Amino acid sequence: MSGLLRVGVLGLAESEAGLVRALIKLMEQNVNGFRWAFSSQPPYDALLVDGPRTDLPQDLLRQASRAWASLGQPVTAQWPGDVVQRPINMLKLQQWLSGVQEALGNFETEPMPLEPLAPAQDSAPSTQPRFQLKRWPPAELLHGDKHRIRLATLMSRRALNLGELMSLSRLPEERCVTFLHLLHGFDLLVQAPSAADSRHEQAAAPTAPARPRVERGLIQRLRDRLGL
Amino acid sequence: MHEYKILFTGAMGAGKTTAIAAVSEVPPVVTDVLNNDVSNAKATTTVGLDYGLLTLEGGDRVRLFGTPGQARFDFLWRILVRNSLGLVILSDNSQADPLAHLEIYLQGFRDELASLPCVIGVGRTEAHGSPRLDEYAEVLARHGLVLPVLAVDVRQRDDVLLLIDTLLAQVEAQLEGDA
Repeated sequence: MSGLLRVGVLGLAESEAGLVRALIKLMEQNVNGFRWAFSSQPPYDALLVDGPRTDLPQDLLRQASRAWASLGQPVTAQWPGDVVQRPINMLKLQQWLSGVQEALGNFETEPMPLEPLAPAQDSAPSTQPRFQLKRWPPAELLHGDKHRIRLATLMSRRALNLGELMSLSRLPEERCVTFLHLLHGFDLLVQAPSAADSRHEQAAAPTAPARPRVERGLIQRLRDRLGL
Repeated sequence: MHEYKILFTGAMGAGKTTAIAAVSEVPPVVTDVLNNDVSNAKATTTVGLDYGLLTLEGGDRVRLFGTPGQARFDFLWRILVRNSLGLVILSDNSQADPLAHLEIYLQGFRDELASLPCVIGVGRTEAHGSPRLDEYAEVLARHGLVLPVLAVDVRQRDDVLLLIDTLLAQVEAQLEGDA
């Protein structure tokens, strides 16, 4: 068996679609033998559709994918696919996809390029890609978690690579990587241009109002004062 | 000895005075008068500014300023925001159109927001779930801004600390970029 299997979604709310994408990414990285990658366009090997949506074209669904599951309830009484109950989580998704993978048996697909979201740990920091937030994440992604809020805040300010994010946040690599994958799943990240392009853009940018001169020790002293 | 400042702004009743009181080491100086705006039930409103203080080890000071909330005092906003460490915009989700208020502050501070650390604190979200925090983010995105939007209760010191900590994280990210 070679290559990756493609899984997509249809008719799901943006937040749920983002969650599925993020879970697929996490399983890609952490589950042995997981051969699935999220795809945003057909053809699919497996397609997850929103169960209550009865307006989905059944014929096109059959053409677009080799296997299907409806989320929450069967799309129709004669629904030929599986049903995955809400709320969706990694275990349910993995169980469904494992079943599909086994049912499809031996197959050949074209290998899908994995997006280099977090680079190999031995790559030089200067070569690691930098990412920045496109917009503030939805509340259901942050869950009021102060660590996630901190990571998102840092990335809202400027583009950071994994090493810089770990250093600034003082959080372990695993937590930073997991959050990056979640942001990527919600399509909230934009990769920064190269360092040369950044310098050119900064030189061309209009001059911002002057900021106070801040020395690094100030931040820590203010945090100490407030007990942060 | 160096002096720094953090600015709190937002509509009348959004909690600027309360937020400063939650963290200031001195009782905040409050320049309140009776509120003669019949559209708002608040008994008093700030017509000058609120003032709080934090003294750091080594003697440096961080002054906390709260701006008057009405748009007619925007001349004060532009004076106060100069050379500030960051800006906290407080919003009251129980008001009729909090997103319209946000637009006022984004417009009033638009020049500074190109580089100034800023966080949006939204109050009373438990009882008033609309607009959602994501709608605030959408307004910011329309202004080309990516700023933290957090649900807070400024009567809780920990929530005010979260707002300030979020500002400080932005300053740290900028320092890293300037290095």
